Amino acid sequence: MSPKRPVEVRLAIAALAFLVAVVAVLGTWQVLAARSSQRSEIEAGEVSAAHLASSALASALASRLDLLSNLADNVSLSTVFTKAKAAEQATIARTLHLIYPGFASFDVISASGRLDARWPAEASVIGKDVSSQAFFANVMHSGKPYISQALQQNAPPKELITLLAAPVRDTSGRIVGILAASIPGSSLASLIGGTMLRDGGALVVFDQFGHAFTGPGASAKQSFASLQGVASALAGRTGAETGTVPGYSGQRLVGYAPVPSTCWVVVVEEPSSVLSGPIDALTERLAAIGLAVAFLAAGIVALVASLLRKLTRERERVGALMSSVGEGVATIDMDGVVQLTNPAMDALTGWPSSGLVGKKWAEALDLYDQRGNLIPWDDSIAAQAASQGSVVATTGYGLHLARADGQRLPVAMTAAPLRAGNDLLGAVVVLRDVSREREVDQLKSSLVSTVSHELRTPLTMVQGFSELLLSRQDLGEKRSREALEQIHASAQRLGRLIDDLLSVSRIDSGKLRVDLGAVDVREVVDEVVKVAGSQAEGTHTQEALIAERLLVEVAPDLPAVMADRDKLVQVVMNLVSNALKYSPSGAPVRIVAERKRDHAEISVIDQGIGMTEAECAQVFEKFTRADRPEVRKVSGTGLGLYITKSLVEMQHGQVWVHSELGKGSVFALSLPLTPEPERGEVFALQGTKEPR
Amino acid sequence: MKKLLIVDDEDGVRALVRMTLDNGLFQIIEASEGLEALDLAREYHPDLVLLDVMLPDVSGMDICRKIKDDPDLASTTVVMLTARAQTSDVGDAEEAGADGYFTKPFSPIALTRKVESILGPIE
Repeated sequence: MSPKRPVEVRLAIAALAFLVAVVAVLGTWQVLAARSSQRSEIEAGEVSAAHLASSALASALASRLDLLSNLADNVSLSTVFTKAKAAEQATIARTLHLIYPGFASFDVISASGRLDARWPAEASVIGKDVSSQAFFANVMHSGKPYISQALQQNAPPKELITLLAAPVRDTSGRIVGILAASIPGSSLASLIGGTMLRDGGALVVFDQFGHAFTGPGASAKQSFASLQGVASALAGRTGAETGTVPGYSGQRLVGYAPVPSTCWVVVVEEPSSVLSGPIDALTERLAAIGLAVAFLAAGIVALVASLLRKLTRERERVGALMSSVGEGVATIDMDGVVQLTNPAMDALTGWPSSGLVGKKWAEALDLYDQRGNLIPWDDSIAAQAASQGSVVATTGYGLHLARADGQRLPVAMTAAPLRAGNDLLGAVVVLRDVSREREVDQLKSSLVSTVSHELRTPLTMVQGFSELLLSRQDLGEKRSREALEQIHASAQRLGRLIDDLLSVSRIDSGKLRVDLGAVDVREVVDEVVKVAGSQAEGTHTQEALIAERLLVEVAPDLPAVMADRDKLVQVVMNLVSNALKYSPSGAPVRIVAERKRDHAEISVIDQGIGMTEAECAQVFEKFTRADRPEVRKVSGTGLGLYITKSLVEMQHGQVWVHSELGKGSVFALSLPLTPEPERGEVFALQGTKEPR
Repeated sequence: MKKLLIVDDEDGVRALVRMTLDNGLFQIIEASEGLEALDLAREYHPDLVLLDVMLPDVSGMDICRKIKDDPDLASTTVVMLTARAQTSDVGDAEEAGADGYFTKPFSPIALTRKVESILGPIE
């Protein structure tokens, strides 16, 4: 895999990360909302519990205070306070304690503030002056019953109590003493009754000065009036808040409410865990869901990424395939718009890379038939493939594509329908440059045309003259001979044509072999001159003429060359026969052979029609003949110089031409000389040959 | 004496036609190129032109057209002589206004008959 992730993979990861982030934000928001609603619900419950507890306590205390007031209002009791002895007073206290077990003890206090009696009996306090105490002053001053703050008992069990005190009056309404009854702080909770508290919750009752009656912080000395909940309740407010509670560690949720008509306060405390517990559970649940979502998302990311990677790889493979294909490939949709091209197509059409994509094929690329007419889009095979849904291909080499630069290129085109399932999406077009094939095809045509012409002409004469000889008795000696000579020359011409064709075939197939040895150039030239005379077409009277035209200049000291004798004769013969053919009759043709360093150079120089530079460049190619009347007038196949060049090169030589139009041509060839030591032998060999 | 113009770049073909038809009843004129043939036709007003198609300078078809377009040569009959035997050539020959065509290789006897059918009996 490439170090850079494909863009689709990155997009998928980003999308899923975004999704996970959205889920996380929504989850967190949900948790916070739940936390907030849970908190208000718990707080409401707390407040309501505090309110219920305070109401219950208020009503319990009020009923007990009423009861005490009623007892104190009893007329007979006033006499006990004013006239009875201490023992009688103690009996009264004992009786009341017996009848009203809701109170822990009963005190009889005189108007002067002396504690006259107490039941359960406690000898140490009898006679004690309580006039300095708040409850005494309050009752005596207001004349109304009163509930005291937390008081510390001196006698065992030395617990905190509250004292309920009511004035006792005589018949004239004068206060003659105070009847007081105590309630232990520990039993206040039972007065409140079954207040619903959560696990770990506790009820704390404070007095009007902020002393705690119950719980670990219970004390008559330490005031918590400055604590926020206590202070709020003392100020008469009901509510809930988070804060500390005496005797309990850490932050607590506190609900508070004042106890009506008593100035006490009830505080219900709950540990914060009660508050956070369900929320934590919810948070955990949501976190678990979030985690599951995250895992799922990660899984999906992995799956999508792997699928995309597979897709990308597939696409890359297709891309590589398209790039590697040598033919131009393009896909077009049903509207003829190019969807995709490969580099070969861009190179073929001359459009810059992918410049075709998105364009209509018909507008971007023109196709012409063999007559040069523009092919309408609907008639093009690409359109046919797309509309008919079948593979269509061009035949022959007539189709031409106009490249972006206007140049026309012969192309072969195959178009196949592009399908996805049963749906036709468009077509795949494959373009191939057939310049080379077209050239070969044209070469083949020119071969057929040349050969058939070259065959037909001598055949015409063989057939015609022989028919004349056979059918006409009146020809006479002279005409009969001329007819036979024509037949003979034609037969020779056919023979040469067949030789040439066979040579070309053998050269092209690599079957032609040369047999190299020491060859005397003079001997070769002499033979050529002899044969050239005998081969002259037409009558034998021309033979002498030709011998006169050929001027031979062979350097006397020219060493032997390494060559194949027969092939060298064929080569020089070819050059000489060309020189004769393309020169005015009578014009001389020079055959010059001389030494050039370690080569022998043989030149055939004529004063013929000559060639242009372009013609020179093509003159050694197969089947090429200059296309002008002076050349067409002379029969030829365009094979001779191709054979010549091939044969010279096989003998490790070179052949070239210098020519000027209208002035003549010089065809020259060079061949390596025989190695120095062998030369003597060659001369010796020739010496033995010469006498024959 | 009827005048006959033979146009062919091949010496052998001209020799064959000449030998076939040279019986003292014709004046035989020869040309090896198209434009030369046109000049000779205008000079001699031949009764018959045997015209090769593949000439070195211009196509025989063009020469045929030129002869047929020339009012002075209205009485001249043109027979195309071609090494090509394709039907397209036949069509081209007709289009060029040729009075007939003859394919190579040809039989001298058949040629004689063809010329007779055009010019009347030779002997």
